[in-house]
Amino acid sequence: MTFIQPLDPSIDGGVVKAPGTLGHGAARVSVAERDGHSYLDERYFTDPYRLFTPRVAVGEPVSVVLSTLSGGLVGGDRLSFSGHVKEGAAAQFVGQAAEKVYGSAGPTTDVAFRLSGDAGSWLEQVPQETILFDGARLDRRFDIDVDPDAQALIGDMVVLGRLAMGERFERGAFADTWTLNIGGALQWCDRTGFENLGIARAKQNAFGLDGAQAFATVLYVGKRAASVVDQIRAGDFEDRARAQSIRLGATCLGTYTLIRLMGPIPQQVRVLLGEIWKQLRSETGGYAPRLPTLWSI
Amino acid sequence: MTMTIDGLALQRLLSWTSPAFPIGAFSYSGGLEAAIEEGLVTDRLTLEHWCRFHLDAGAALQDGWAVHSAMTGDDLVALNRLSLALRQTRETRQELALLGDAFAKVMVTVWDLDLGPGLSAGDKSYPVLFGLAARQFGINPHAAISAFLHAWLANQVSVACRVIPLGQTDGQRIMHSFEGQLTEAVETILTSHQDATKPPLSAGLVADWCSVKHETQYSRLFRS
Repeated sequence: MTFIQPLDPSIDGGVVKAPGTLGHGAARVSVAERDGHSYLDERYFTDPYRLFTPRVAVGEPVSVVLSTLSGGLVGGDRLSFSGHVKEGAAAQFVGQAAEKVYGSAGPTTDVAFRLSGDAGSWLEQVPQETILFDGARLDRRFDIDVDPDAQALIGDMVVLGRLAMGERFERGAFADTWTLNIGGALQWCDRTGFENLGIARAKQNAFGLDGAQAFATVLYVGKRAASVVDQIRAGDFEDRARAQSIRLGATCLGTYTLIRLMGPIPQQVRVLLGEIWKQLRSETGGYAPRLPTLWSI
Repeated sequence: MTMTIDGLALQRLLSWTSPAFPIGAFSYSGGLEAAIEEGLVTDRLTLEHWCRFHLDAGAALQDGWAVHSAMTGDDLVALNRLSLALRQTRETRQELALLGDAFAKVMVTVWDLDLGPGLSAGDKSYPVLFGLAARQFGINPHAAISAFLHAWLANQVSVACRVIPLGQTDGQRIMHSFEGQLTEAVETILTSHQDATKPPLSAGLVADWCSVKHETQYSRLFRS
């Protein structure tokens, strides 16, 4: 049951739904700009995806909410999402809820995100955490491709198990591949995963996760990359992180800034991530220092 | 696995990985200085854990993969970009590029290394250039990766001797005890990471965090 109603298909040009196997889905959306206003230009999805576009305040990016009907992913599921922000447009992509990945007897769950932003665009992907259940086998790809004149604020958070339920991610597989292309040239590639060490060892290793149960990433791409690092260092974020045994670090690589957080209590990582997010979207995009309503638990 | 290497190849690898080879490798710590500052590396045992981690699931594994990929791959321009892009922090990427650039200069000047059109301009990844040199001189990949990782390990030990500080003899105990682990790492790269477009996964979230902390570390001897 959802509290967000999909737009009437007749209003925004129609929704194409192809029959799909539950668990093998694709969603595609593009946002364009006309006369200073961004609008949903194209959308397409197959089960188990649903896309919603809740109303937003004037001046805010078009918000596109992505949800999966299945309530969680299992081994063998293949999902792909593509979000494209056209020239001068502003869009915010947000997951409706945390994505749960359940244990698998063998097959891998494959999730692919392709995000692109044209010149003068604002591309915002708000993180909702991915929760890995014991035995989950997840292979994810994030391919980001932006124009040198665009800005992107892209986040992600991974939670290892559901501690409140006594669920710990101890077995399984996790492989995460991120690529960032700016103007068609590869600027960043991250291949994070635990296959070589094994999950239990990577979690305990002092140079791996060192006991962290959650880790999060914020990637800012754009002209304000240097100032993003200064903001993380100048604010009280680092003091707050330290008080909660969260490791927080930001590094600027010229055209982009990468921020990482990891800590023993997922909810604390999430709250700090949210605070950072609000400030950055305001300081770099000029938008309200607010998270989508959906984001709060 | 037994490996044989001819005398000329051995001499070349010894030259290229010597601390006297003028690329300034001694001025980088790859995040180790910050790991020591943060209290994560405090003695011989924890230094061994740090080195082992990098060989199993960190930057050393990815660099060894880059050396090998440069010896076998078709598109070295793409590999060079990928290898640089894999460095997650400002200082470790700068380390890779400055070493690569310096290595290329000496190799072109002295050994007539042919960079080809694609690698002549722009940042160069040190392990990719090292692999390219080994390839052009027909050196056995096992030997080339071994030499590269051995030089990396020796440099980490040298950093630790200066910063922890660790005794010189304890440093050599690490070199001795890692002989088997270096060989294992080389064989893992040769057998399990043969795809030049698919780097090994890294689990080094805290290791990278150390490098980020180094950017603002108050007192430091090293550039990374």
